[in-house]
Amino acid sequence: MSIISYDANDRIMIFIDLRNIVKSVSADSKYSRVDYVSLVRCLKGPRKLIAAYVFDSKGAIDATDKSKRFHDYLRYKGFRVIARDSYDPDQNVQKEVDVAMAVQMVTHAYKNNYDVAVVVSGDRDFIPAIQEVQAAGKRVEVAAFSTSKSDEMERQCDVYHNLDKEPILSLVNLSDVLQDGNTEAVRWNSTIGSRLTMTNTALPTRTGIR
Amino acid sequence: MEAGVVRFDYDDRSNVSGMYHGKRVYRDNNHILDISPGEIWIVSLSLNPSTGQNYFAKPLKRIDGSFLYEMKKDQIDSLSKYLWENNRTILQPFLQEIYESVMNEQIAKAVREQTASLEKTIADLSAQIDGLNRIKEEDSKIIAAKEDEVELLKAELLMMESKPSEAAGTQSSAPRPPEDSPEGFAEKLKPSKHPIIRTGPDTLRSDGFRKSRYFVHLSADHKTLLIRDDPNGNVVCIDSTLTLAGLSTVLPFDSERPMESEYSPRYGGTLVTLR
Repeated sequence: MSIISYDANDRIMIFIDLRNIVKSVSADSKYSRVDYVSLVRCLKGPRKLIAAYVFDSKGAIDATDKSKRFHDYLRYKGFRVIARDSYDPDQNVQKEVDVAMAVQMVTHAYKNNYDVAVVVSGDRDFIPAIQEVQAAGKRVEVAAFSTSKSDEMERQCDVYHNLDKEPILSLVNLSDVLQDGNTEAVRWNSTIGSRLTMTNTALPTRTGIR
Repeated sequence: MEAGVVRFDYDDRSNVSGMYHGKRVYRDNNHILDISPGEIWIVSLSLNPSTGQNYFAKPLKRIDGSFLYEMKKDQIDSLSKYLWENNRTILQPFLQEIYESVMNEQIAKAVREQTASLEKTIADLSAQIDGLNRIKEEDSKIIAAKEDEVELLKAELLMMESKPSEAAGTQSSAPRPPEDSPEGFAEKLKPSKHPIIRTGPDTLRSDGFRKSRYFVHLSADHKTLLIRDDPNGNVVCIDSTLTLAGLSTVLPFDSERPMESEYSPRYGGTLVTLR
């Protein structure tokens, strides 16, 4: 039993390290993909969501950047997407992303923009930032899949959410897949370059994070 | 000496002359401007001093197309007023005939515009009503869920009151986390009113599936399925049946059987245990 209790008046900010989540979800979920809106709903609970940030890398401007459309989709849903340039043409190596996320967490903490920071990543590189945020009097929750979770992260945070147990993978209707004629379009792939394409998903009506 | 408007033409003696107040008007031959037959002029008239029976006219301004173009607005107004007042009986039926058709067209156009505007207003209001109905429906669902929750809590309270010692014992031996505990957002689940039946490898059926679209989410450990109705859901419900591609890969199908399911107020949907 945790000594920490939730307050519906808590202002929370969610920081999602997209690459970490992508790597965590196994490629065998042929007909499922992470629903980031549901992920935020699960983590938010009854509390007040101030913002949900997504951090990722992007390709060169003149190159065909497959992630751009997905970033736009997330923005359309109400996420604040921060995409840093990737110096690797295949986007297998990301640069600046973790630091950008850590900076945002600490900056918002010192500006008293939130009460609770939820870090959606199991990467222990964030531990110094988490400690700094905690030192600023804020609570830090970590949400991660067991496949990418660092034990030290679980120890460091105030509350840990095991994403393995959260129903956040969206099942895609078979008819949708057949209509699209391209099952790959809705498939999660562990390789970054084609990790998610939205070819069968037209931009929906702007419902935002509810 | 007076001024007047005179139309000049050939008279019986082939002289160029006109008439003014019943008296013949002849051209003043000493004047520089020449009056031709068939023209209308504003002239300065002087009575013949010897006979007093005719006028001599000094031309001032010829009345033709250019004269009308050069007229100022107040002059035009005065002229129109004069013409209207003195020729009303002739002009009125003529103008009435012309403007009846024009006015009818204008009225019809105005009516059409107003009708279109009203139709748009009706459409907007209908959309607003639909939106409000949707909110009402969602609110009703929330109220129903909350009422169920309250009933459940009441039932639990009654149980605790009837068995105080047992309840106390339970609490002391294994304290439950408070409702607002972060440990998994502890909440009270309750059994679904309508059982969910696995009818095929990728199909779930329930009498509770009454909406047309649902969101269905799976946990990464493949143990929990969340079914939540939503107008924008990506799973279509046909005949109270949801077809979930890939369900058989998550949970192999052996035979038709009911699934363990509970309503979750936290998720706002039904949690189905996959086992």
